[in-house]
Amino acid sequence: MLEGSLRDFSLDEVLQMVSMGEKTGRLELKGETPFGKKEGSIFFKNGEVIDAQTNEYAGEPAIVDLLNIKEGYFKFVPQDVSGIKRSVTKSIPDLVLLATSKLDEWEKIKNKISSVDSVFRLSTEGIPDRIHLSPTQWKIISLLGKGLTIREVALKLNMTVIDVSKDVYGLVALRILKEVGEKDPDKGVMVKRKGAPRSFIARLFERFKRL
Amino acid sequence: MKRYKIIISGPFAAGKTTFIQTITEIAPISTEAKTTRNDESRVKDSTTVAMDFGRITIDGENVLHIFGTPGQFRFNYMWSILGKDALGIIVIVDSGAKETFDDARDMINFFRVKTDAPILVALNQFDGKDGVSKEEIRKILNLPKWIPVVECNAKDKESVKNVLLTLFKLIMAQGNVY
Repeated sequence: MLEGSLRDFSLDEVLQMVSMGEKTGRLELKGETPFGKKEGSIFFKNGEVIDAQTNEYAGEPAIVDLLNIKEGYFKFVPQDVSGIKRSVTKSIPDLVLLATSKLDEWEKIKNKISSVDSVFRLSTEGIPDRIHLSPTQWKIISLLGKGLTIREVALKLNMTVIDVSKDVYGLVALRILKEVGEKDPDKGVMVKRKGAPRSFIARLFERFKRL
Repeated sequence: MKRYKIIISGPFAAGKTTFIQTITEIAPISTEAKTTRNDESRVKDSTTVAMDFGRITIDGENVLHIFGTPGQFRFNYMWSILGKDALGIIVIVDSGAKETFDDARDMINFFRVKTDAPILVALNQFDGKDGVSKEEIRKILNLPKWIPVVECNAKDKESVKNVLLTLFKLIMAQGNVY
């Protein structure tokens, strides 16, 4: 068994050890990613990734989440994986590249969306006259309109948070959605509100009229 | 004390610092440095390199901060920093400085990509200078319907007040209010 903190060994180094050693077993990972806390396992057969599982996803989406853990813990447990169906065919360098590109996409998305726990409202002010929306975008709008977060929508639609975020980014740019705040993912209550209370804007008007 | 902020942006020498000086209740805080580039020093001696800052106390609990950005694209990292969580953005354009219109368009597009705050264009008409009209600047900058254009004189308090009141109406209609 191999275990430790990702402060001492980077995830790249751990993957390299498992891969170069042609190990078979389960790599358990737990820690913080830009999308919140993640926990799950990556399954290896003779040093190759064959499957992954988190409490949210399976296969590639789960690996993308797990490979973005920057701070946390790992544990490699040798085990028989013959009962696990292969769902991943990409090599480790390709999977690392995929996770990195998703992270880059997220950096761009962050311009318009604060967090995967953001909450939105529908807006009609200033939207273009004609818009073409895909069925998935309709589903996303409908669920976000009910007060769900990006993370919750991703779970409902069985999509990754990045893929939902990309659609939401486009919908925010089109001014169909407006971010109003963030929910605590554990408690499900609004913890941050974006913008200002209506009463404050009303006071602004009064104050400026008197200036 | 709760602090809210709005951003005053616009190309080099559009009148941003003047706009803030005209309305702030405190002595404005400016980060001016001597212009060193020939094209800029012909226009003015100094330029904002980090930000301008003004303040209006709304009541015992709330204060409005007014941040002015540098005008040059090379300082655009400050646009991102200052623009974060702003209630609204005013882009000041000098109606007579046609050579800055491309910069103004880039700046508006920058804020459209980087924030979801309402944006307003204030067309600053410096005394005695010929300039383009509201309709012309709308076409030149290729503005969408949701970005209004308001004429103003950055040296005149009533005019500056009018621009800000228009922005507040815009924030009520398009902004993050709850």
